[in-house]
Amino acid sequence: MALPDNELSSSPVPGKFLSAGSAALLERTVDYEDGPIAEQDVSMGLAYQVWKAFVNEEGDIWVQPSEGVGRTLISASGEITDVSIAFNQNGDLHCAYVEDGVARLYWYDSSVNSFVTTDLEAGVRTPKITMDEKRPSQQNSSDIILSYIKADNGLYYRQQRDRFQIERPLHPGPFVMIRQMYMNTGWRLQWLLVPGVPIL
Amino acid sequence: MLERIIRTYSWVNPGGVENLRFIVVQVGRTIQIINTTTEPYSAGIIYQETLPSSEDNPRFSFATIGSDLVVAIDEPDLLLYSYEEGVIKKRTGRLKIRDMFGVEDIWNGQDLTEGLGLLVRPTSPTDAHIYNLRNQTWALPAYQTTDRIRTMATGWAVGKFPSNSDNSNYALAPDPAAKSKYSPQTDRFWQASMVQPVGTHRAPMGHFIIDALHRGQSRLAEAAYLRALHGLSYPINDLPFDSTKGGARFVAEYAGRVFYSGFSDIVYGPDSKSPKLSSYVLFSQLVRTPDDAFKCYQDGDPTSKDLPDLLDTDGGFIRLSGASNICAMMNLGKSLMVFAENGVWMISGNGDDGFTANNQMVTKITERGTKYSDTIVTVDGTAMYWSEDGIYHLRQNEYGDWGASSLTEDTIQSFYEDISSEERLYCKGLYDSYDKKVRWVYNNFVGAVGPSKELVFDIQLGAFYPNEIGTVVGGKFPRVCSMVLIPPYRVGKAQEEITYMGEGITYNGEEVTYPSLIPVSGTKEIIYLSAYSFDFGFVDYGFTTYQNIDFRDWPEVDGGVDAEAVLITGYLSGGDASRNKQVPYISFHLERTERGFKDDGTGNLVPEGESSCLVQAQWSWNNSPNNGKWGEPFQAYRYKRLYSPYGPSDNFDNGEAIISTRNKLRGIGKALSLKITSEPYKDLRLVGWSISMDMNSNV
Repeated sequence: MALPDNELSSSPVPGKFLSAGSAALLERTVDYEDGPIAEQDVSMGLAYQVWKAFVNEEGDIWVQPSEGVGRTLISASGEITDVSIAFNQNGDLHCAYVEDGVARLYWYDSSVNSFVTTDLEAGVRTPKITMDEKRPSQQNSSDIILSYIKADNGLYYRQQRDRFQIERPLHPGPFVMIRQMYMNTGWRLQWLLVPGVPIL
Repeated sequence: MLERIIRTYSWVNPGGVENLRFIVVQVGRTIQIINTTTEPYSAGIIYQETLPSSEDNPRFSFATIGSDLVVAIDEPDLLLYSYEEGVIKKRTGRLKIRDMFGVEDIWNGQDLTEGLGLLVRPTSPTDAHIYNLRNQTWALPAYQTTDRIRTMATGWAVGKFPSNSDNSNYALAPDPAAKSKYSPQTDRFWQASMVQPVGTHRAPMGHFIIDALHRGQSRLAEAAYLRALHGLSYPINDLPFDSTKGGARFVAEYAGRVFYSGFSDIVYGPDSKSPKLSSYVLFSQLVRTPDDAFKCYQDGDPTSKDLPDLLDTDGGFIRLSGASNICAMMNLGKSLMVFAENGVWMISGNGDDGFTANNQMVTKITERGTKYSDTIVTVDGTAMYWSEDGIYHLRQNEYGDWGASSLTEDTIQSFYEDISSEERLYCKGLYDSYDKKVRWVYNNFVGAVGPSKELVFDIQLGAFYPNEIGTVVGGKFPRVCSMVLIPPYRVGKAQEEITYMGEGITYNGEEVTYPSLIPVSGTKEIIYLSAYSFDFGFVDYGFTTYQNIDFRDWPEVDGGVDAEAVLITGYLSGGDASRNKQVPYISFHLERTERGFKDDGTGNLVPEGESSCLVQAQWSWNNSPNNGKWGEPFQAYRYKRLYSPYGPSDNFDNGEAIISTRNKLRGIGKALSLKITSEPYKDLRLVGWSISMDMNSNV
């Protein structure tokens, strides 16, 4: 379980971000995630290669594995300002993004056995998504975590096991944005946050 | 995009704590105060406040007076911060001056403040005239006379209101004939003494102490208070609004006082007496308590019969005739330099004595002014600053006279001219006295694109050289935005052991300690404030220094970018530019930098601290390779003998301190320039080179 008791650890265990999590820390429209050999192919595990998601020249979200062929993940009609990707235990590609100021989650809904796009509440900014545990030994307790800052400048999260339906507060902030959320070298899910009050 | 201004200031000895320094950071309208005893510095924010400002990009000005920080924000309120018992405390204050201007005074179409109008005694009161009279010796009651003006206007002797030249002090005298119980020594107001006018000079003024900026409202308030205090006649209800827009924009400490300048020329509701403050410099009284910092007036009442004198410790104001757009003030030695767009003025004491209210001198030093206030740098009792046409050095000559000379005219003039006005406007300079280098960072504003740039002036060499600090993200971030001085020797936090009878005290097996401040040392004096992003209107910043030994800028951001070193020499023509030359051999001497080996992860040992020196010949003043006059780059840093390490712990000691190589330099031309570059992520320490040059006999 990524967040025991649904809260942050009582004592921070800071460390460096693992693998792909240490890249593109300052870029909101580029995200890297350790992922499988191909979408929906976890035969080589969930950390076989680094996947990159970014906004291409057409303004769409493009995903590109370090080995293999990329594709358009989201065809955008508006301006994309934030991109974050993750794979679930079956290698399904999930994506949190912001289009024309609206935060959205593209995810695999097991209740309908298909991908759906869910709009998040107005005012949500810098959504980040990641699979917390990619080690094979931890597959049963792994979860995709979606985290973001809301209009009240607090930090919130949702998790895959709740089908992203339950929102939980993590920290009242105030925070301007999440710069990164990824596992760290201490095997803790770690947030890199910009503290402060935004000027919106 | 809203340009977020980012500025820094070093607050020395806050709270009187020796060697303690706070960094004051201005980002937009927000200031943050950072305690440098905490590392990283960005975690040491002890105070934050968003200040009021009518501007999108206000430039706040900071000065330290005593142990307090004064901040001018172009608003009527000035801010004074003090550090008391670990807490930042804030006071606000307004600049106060004596009213040495008065108000426009027209009666029956005649100006009562000019020429013969000064002698006119009106038969009816106006608010303006009554105010002027009150401000000019007619404010206070006398013995058995509540209101001297009323006595004049209704009395048997004159029967008219006083003129602006009438000085009621002339009519104050004791009554020696009075019986002792009637205080014969006390001054009375003898109206008969006022019958004859005294001349066409104005009576002394300045009884009222008013707000230097919101003068009209302040005059009304002071006059009403005076009337209520003494039961005076003639209420004053209507005076010109007379209010200067904004407030002081620049503040400096000098001669134990606070100086203020940078006022606007815009006056709301003016009259003919309203001062245009843009060329004024106000100075406070000698600061003994924080409130003194705002008192820009003399203590003694100049309209008083007994204590009209100006004291050395008094405040006041100075007018710099001709100065336009004052942009900075700086304390240099025994003087205060005032930088304006059209020149530099010096305020000082006359002769060898220091500045006082009674001893002041204003001198224009140079016509080379500046509008780039943050480029002004103090360098060992002199100043350097960027002007429109070059970088100037303001200093005393051998006779002690101040003057400004160009540092760029014979050196980097064309380079300087290529720096845009916008880059100059945000440029920030500082002098590292340990390094003996002046550094100016430019292209440093949040909206800039491309690398941040730094122009370095080496005081010892008298040479300029440029630095570029690459960006990682989209050519914009991270970006060096400002600099601040953190002397190598300052105080830091430590935990000191508590002892009893010479023995350390423990609790639950752990030593009991208390936090204390101790001197710590470092090697650099300048640190940089760098912006990492500008999202949601918020600038995310941190503090950075040149310290990476792998020659990477921003290594913590995606591995960083290579900090390439480039040197292009001047043209060597051997004293004869008409004949072709050849360089059969060129020898390079480079410091050896390899200090050991490390395993590259595959079992192979690779040297640590590798150097590389790529050299390219550029012949005959060619500025591109298109003419075939540029040679191929070659490696000048080479080991003559292979070195075989015995293992990862080998320290790579081959006995050589300098790597010297002899190289063929291909090509021919009338002049030779060398381009020497480093390789990515490798060291390069050039000691020197030597050339044997052959010259053709034919022209």
